[in-house]
Amino acid sequence: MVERIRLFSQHVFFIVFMYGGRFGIHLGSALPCFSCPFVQGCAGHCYLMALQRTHVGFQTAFEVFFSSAFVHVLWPFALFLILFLPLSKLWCAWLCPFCLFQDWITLIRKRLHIREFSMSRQVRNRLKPVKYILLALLILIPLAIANLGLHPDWGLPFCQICPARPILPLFTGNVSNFHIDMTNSVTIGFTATAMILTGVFLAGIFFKERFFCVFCLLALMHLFKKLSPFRFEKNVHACTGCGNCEQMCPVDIADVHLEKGKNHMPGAVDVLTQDCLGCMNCVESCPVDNALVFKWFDFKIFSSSRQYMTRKWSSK
Amino acid sequence: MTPVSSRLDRLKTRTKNLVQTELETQTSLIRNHPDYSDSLDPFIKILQQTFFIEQFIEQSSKDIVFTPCIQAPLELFHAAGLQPFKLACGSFAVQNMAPLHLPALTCPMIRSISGLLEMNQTEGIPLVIPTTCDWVVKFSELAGLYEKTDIHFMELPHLREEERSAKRWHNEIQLFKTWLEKRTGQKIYSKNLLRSVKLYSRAFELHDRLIRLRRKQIVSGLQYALIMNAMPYQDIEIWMAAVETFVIGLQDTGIRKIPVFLSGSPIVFPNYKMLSLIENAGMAVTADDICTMERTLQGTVAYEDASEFALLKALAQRYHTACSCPTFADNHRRINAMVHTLKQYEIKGVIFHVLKGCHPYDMEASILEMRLKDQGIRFLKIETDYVKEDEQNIVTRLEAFNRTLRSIEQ
Amino acid sequence: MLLDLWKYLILICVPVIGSFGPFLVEARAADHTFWNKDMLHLEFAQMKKHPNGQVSQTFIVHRPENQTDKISVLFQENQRPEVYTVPLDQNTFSIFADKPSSIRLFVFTRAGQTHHVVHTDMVLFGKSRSLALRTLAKPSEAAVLKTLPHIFLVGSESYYWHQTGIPLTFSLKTQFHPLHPVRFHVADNHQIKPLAADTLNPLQFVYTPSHDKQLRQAGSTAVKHNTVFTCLAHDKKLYHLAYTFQLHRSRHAFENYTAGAIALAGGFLVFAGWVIKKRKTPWWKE
Repeated sequence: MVERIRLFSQHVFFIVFMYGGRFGIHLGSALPCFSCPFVQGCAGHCYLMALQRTHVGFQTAFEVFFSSAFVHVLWPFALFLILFLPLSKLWCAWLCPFCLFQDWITLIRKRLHIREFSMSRQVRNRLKPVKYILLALLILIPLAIANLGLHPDWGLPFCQICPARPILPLFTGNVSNFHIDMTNSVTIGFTATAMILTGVFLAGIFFKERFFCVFCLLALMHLFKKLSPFRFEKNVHACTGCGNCEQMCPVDIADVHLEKGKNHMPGAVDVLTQDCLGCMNCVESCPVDNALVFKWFDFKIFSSSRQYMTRKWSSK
Repeated sequence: MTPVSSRLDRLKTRTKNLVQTELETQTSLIRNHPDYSDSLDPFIKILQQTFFIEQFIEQSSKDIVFTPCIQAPLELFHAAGLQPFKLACGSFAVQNMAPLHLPALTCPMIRSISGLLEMNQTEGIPLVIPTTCDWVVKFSELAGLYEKTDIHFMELPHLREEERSAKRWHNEIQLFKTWLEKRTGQKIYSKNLLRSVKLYSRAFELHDRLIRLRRKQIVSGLQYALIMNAMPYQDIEIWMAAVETFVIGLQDTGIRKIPVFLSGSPIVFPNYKMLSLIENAGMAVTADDICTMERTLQGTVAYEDASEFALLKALAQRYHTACSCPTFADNHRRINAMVHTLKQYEIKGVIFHVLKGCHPYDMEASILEMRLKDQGIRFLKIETDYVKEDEQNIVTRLEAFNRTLRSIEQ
Repeated sequence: MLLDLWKYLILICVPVIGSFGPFLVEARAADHTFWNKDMLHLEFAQMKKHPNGQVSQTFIVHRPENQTDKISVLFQENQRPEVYTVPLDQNTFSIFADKPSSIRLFVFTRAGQTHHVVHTDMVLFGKSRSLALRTLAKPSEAAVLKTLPHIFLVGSESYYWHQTGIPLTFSLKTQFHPLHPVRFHVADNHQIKPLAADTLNPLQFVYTPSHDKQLRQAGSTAVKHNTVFTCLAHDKKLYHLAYTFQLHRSRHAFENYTAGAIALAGGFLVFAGWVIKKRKTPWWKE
């Protein structure tokens, strides 16, 4: 049920984000999802682009940071926060067009009964800092262009290598991003990396559900989770440790399964982690009543139920 | 001098007669019970048959495989077209046939199983042993089964939450599947496995309905024990049909007793001593976490996709991570499930049943007692075996426990 | 007598020469030697983003020889009718924008009988709350724009990012018919090249800027400027008209799709192969 509602929401927002601009929808340049600016007629732009740009992002001279013009950098950020707050991580699994693209690929794999490859907890943990490294580069490279004379072709470094850039425009019939730009060594470097990465990610997404999300920078929005009324909580005393949540999680989050609270004291613990996409697969597959709860303030959006879980799997 | 074989035959015949008498006595007790209804007949019938394995095999449409514990996935047996036969025995009489060299403090269940295997012609029937407790690990050697049959050990990692254990167990499940394929000479395709998984999910949903009725005391502890004990000897679809018939015919007597949670060592037909004693003391077992009762069906298997790998991984996880067998080292979250059920259904007391010689449960009792008492839950540990001599003593303790629970309720 | 002969010669020759005058001018128009020393032209200098969000573009003005009038700088913004003027500071002036502004700029002056007009279009992406300073031109000044002959870039309002390798079409807007066939030249890095006239329309000239190695090496925002110019004669006046524009490197000319496909397939196959090799189970066999 919840899975179906989510799929419906994903498709609706896919259409809105990808084609909305053609119908006059403009949601700004600070969307917390991969509504790619390289898609012609999209309804809004992913915040990552604004973050790297001149004037509204970090490709800005140092002196601007200490002047009133800094407000132009803050504005998109404020808009990003305003959009993020009510929905928090639901942006990922319920709205993001690239997430839906990955889900389609996964659906094909599942239909073909091809198994995925498993990533161990150790690998997952090792990959966690990658997002922060990418974020640091995303800030430092534009800063270096604006202030240290780095070659301007390093501009929009993340967009240049992001696999969504060639892939998402395909849905508007645009294949123009599948090339290597021979203009100069910097463009060759970036476009070749982009093409190789796109190939790697296409294979990765095929063999591992939501493979891109492991590296997605927007997933770091969980850093602001405390500001959001949206909560994902686990009643640690209810959990029997069956591991269904980890098993069914598209990004294999172990933290929800292993969370035991402080000193084994009963109570609700926040388990919205960096990698969590808010897909609620874990809640759907949790066999203990109210062990996992998605909340909006104190209102329960969806909580685990043995009956729900049993019914879901027996009617499959 | 009488030849050994004829002496053994005489012992066999005598034991069979004793078992027959024991079964008849117990069955008539059950049949005369006010909770009994005719729709329970199929369950009793199959349980009686399990003592006479030769006849059981004759009547079974599938080849049988013995397994003493619940960690070998039932879905895999089903997908391979084999009938699991759970090696769990509650008969006291059958212990006559148990080998004499068994240690004095042998777990009564293991003693009975050894007797059962000795009493019947079981040579050549394959055996799958998940390495749970020490008794289970060693009994095949003690019972001299090595020479007699094909034994497949599934090495159960005793850590539930570690990824390395999960991987090892997943590997074990795959090897188990390969072993089953070798036995039957037929490959288990993922579509067959998926069908079995779905079937068992439906069975679990039915089981869940049954549990909810049990919590409301519409289904009694005894009825439930019969149904669940009979499950691992039957084709799952036949079992489901019988359960549905039973549920349809159910009537609410309106009688509500003090609910208790029963935990501890397995309770197996016909040894329903604990169940009837608890009932006689004025309480009703509305919940349990015993591996021959509520944990017989491990729960719904949630799988990521229908590939063989994913299905086996899901099965491995369900039969390992989700299992709360006391042989696990990191079993401390077992109490959560218990407390959750206690709170959800307002059950105030836990009765912990330990079979003498069942060390894992004995140890687990001490751990649970400390932690449950911290949460204000009454706990009563009862150590017993298959004999009837200690019944009066147990009833007295149970009655006192009942009074305590009543006083809390008031 | 001899003196009289000279007088007669002059009396005869002047009208003859006078009647040939336009041809002499034409001969001059075909010659581009007046470029640089004799012509008003513009140079794009620094474009700057200011801390308040405004964006400014500075121009350097190269004055013509023997300039007699002051240099006027007029511009219109976002295709609106208002005409603004900008004061010249020595040889430079700057235009500020507080919002995205499409600017149509004219710089003109006179040197004796020669009129110099330089025209350009550009877009400035200002984003500021403090309004950019604007001075409205006097109506008499503004009225000049309506009749000012100038070169214009066809379709320049809709596209501002001119790239090397992409043809640009230039045309002429005058209130008169030039007396001789019009010829356009382009000045690119001090190299002067004639432009070919459109076969269908002799007043339209097509220019395809060639790729520039320096632009390729510099960033995508790097620019160079080219000037298309011509010289017209009418009514004993000479008109030196120019259109200056900025050129970026080509965005798409060097895109190699085959190489892209190879890299894509390579990445896919290598990773897929690695995954298939890695995911073999069971991990341990009996």
